[in-house]
Amino acid sequence: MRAALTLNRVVLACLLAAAATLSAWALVDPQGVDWGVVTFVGVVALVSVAVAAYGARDSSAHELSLVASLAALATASRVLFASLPNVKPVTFIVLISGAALGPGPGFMVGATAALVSNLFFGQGPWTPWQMLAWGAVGAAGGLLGRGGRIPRRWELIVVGACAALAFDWFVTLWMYVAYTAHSWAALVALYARGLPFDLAHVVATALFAGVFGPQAVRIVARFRVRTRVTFVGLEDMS
Amino acid sequence: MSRPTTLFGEHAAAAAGATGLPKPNRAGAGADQAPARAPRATARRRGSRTYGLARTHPLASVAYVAALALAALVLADPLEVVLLLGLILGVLTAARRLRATRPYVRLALYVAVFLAVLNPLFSQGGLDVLWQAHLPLLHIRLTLQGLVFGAVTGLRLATVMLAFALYTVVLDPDDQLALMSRFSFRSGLVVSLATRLFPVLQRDAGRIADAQRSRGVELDRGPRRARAVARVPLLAALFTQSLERAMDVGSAMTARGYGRRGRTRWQGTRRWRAGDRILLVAAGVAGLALVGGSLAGAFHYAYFPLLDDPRAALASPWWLAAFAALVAPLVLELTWLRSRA
Amino acid sequence: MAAIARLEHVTYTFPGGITPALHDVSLEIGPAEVILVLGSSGSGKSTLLKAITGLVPHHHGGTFAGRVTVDEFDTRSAGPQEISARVGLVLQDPENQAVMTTVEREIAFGLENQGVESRAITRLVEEALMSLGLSHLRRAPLETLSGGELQKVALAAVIAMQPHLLLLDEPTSQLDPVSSEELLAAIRRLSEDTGATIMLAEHRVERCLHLATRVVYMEDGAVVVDSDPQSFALWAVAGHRELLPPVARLFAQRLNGQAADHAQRGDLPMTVKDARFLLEETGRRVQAAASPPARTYGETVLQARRLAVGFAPGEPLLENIDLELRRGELVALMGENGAGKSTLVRHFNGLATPLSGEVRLLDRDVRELSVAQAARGCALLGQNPNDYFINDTVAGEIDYSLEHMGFVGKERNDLAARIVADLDLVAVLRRDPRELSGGERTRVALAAVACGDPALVILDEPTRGMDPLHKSELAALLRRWAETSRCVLLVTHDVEFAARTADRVLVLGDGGLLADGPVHEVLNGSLFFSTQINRLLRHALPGVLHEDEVDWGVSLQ
Repeated sequence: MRAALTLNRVVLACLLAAAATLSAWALVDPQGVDWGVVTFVGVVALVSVAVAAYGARDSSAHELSLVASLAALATASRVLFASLPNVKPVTFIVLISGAALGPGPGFMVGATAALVSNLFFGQGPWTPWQMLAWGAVGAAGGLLGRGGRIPRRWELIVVGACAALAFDWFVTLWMYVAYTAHSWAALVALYARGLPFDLAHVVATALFAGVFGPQAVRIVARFRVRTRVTFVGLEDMS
Repeated sequence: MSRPTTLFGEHAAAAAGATGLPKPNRAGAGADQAPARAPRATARRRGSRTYGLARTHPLASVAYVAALALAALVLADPLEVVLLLGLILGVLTAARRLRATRPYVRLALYVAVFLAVLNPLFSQGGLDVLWQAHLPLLHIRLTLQGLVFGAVTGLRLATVMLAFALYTVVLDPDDQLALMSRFSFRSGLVVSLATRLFPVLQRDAGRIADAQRSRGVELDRGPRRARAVARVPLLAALFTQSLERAMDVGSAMTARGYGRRGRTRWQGTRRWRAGDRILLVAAGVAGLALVGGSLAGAFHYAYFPLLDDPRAALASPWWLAAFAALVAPLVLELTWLRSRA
Repeated sequence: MAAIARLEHVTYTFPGGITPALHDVSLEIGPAEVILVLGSSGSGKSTLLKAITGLVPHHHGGTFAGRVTVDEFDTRSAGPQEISARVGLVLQDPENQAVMTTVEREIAFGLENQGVESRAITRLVEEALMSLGLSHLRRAPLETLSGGELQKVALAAVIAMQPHLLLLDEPTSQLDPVSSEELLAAIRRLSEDTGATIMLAEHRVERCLHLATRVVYMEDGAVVVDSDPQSFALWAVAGHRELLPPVARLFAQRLNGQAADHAQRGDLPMTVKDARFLLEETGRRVQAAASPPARTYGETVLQARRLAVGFAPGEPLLENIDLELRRGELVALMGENGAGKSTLVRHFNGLATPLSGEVRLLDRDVRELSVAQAARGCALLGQNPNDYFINDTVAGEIDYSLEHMGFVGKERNDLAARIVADLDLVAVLRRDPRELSGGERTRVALAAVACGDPALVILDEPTRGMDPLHKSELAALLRRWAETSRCVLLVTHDVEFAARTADRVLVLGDGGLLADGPVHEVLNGSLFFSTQINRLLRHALPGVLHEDEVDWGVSLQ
């Protein structure tokens, strides 16, 4: 265990040092720095820190298996709708997982869903970006459901739609930053290309949230950890 | 033309031939078969032989691939990028996994072409103008520098994608999961569990869809919206079933002692071989050279206003150190290590 | 005798539960015992096992009265993690127990939790693999394993921790007969080689009653019987015959109006071997009972002509399948695991398209129909009833199906009323299907697919994990349906069930149809697909399959 902690700390330290150095360089010399590298390392560092932070929590077996199942569910549901392009229920499932379980587990569901679905569909440079983006969606869901409340249907629809849009735009960002001429026209063109698919994603997420949102949160909330044990003495049994 | 980024997953899926829902036009798997499991992108079967990079210690190989990916990100000079691409293809060939990368190659080409077309249209600042157009909101200047910029950035992204394809196709996913557990045990456990459960839930999803079809719900014909709406209730059933599974899995984990203090880590039976150590050292050297050279500005390549001489960067010591470090293991693998094994 | 585990007046209620899952249970478990725990679903078997591991109450919550002690641990103060050093638990569903992605890491997981050092783990993993014959699967990814192999891995993972007490909660109910036998043989070997105490909850008594040294029967959370197998058999003869293996039932039959003497003497046979010995010893004669009149069958419901079935063209799983199903028939489709039974029946309602040949349902080519349309003529019930539940009430499920099948108005109401009456669902109409017991769930799922009054009803392994009482109810239902001129096709591994229920048996194997004929011909003298009674009496009374077909003759003594 101690060895793992050391490796953990070493890797995190390296990543954070790299990210800090690159950010400093970017601030000093915005024109000369390779933005692709800076943003990539930055995203990887952020994701690693968040994942390590989650790992430091004292999660029960129940919570871990719940988070893992929801992430696997998000991936599997993608397959359920595979014949309908970019109708990805992943955003929806990550959102409501966060709403039911809280920001920390919600983030983990999103990040894991990204990692696992790419394990099956192919890893790419987009993976850390998807992990961060879907993780953020999960965390946002956690904010929606703070205090254990079940979010209203319209809240889920609005946040879901925005989350879907933000997700698509964020993940495209790296492509723009690293490999495109830095002009507004190029950015607009890049986003415009993806608009029909972004729209499908947004509509699909809103649809899921509208039809199934609060019910889904209720289902997941039912499975929340709730081990309240009442011991009755040997003497007082009916 | 479709949008690459969010669709990367989709495209790779379609290209990698991942199984979708068993549709009625295919005899799907019944439960009394050796269960049809989701083929992973790596498509590794039981007892398959491994070669080259796939045979090395997971830590060494992930370090090496990370160095390759870093190189792909950092290098900007066209000739350097081409050499790196060649190296990656060489590593793939040595591992005998070149054919498995075909869907990724297709995707990478697609993206490269997209960039090669997009960038010249929107880049400003080149001096050798080939064509101009004034549109209401846009001023298009097609320059030679722009064209080169487009082509090279496409090539760069393709190279990065191929480095990641190398990761996906060559490296053993279960070993990588074990590595992740070393970084953060609980998070690694979550990812491992999710990976383990995904094929199970995928089969559940297929079974639920079949069950609903058998009771008269039309899932495959009709307008797209109707089909999507018909599938939503299936999600509810899948939700409940998978969460009940989660309860069982949590019980099983607890019953096997998860949560006790003083957990140890099993080292596994993989030993460090000479080749592994060389790989790790090479990765380290290359990484340092890349980082140092990047900070020193050795990898910077300018397109505008005029193209830099591509051959100039090749003389840089940073580049030479990095590339030599990256090539060495491959050369050794093909010559010395082969004879030892 | 020092007890390994002890339960004292344990009463436990799940959180939100109304009736206790365990009611005043007291048990003492000693070393080297093999305890068989019997009881219908909902009787508390699983809860009992979980109480011993400490999962109840620490993992599940709820109200707990009484005391459970395992070795020196008291579950009130010790959690399941600590007790895991002494107690191992194997669950029913093979897919729900594995946490890691490869076999060796899976086995190492429990050992890591216990804080065993790495080198010892390597050795223990190796030994666990060897003891269950899994060495060739050492690095195999779990997703490539079959159900039987997964259960063996789960067992290996548990025995690597070397527990004193091994608990198994219906470990074979999701497995095919071959894998089940292998698993039970491994368990028996474990008991004999290590002396560990084994507690096995099971339904298929004919497979494991002879292994047990003690039987515990539970009903509604309370222990009703706790004794050695023969005393249990004596008790069961009085009113719970379905809990006995067929040979025991045979020898428990009355002879000349007198009470069954074998039961009283305490030597009811549990295996065919014991039964044969007893038969020779007592010199009893058996004769075939009067057979029921032959049945007549109606029009052809389904016809398959030169059907080839498979996943990839050019690689057929089954070829040249020709068969015809008629109204009034109750047909059992059998075959080894992987032979293609489930795949074949999916072609009958259009879920799958054949590689070549045709399937005609009610004289229409199935390829022309969509599955939703075919659902009116052919109902296919899958293996997991939970797959059908997407509404909040049972009535809602039936309405949902009828609506999607295209029924409206008066016809719809009539069909709904008819299926509810047929399947005895009046009492549960307003309830959430997911909260019902196992047997009720199967009936609700059946209602959801068969509400359109189909001519052909196909059930894919309906008896998996089903207790004997529910099996009898299901058998009666299916017979009733066949008699009211439906055709029922039953895909099953359960030979005893098929023998009792079906008139005709189809056997798949080696890429084709190996047998197709009346049940008494196909299952008679068979090497693998045979019933206990048939194996016992096939020379004396060829063609006899179960004990109802046998009458005792006069004793020679």
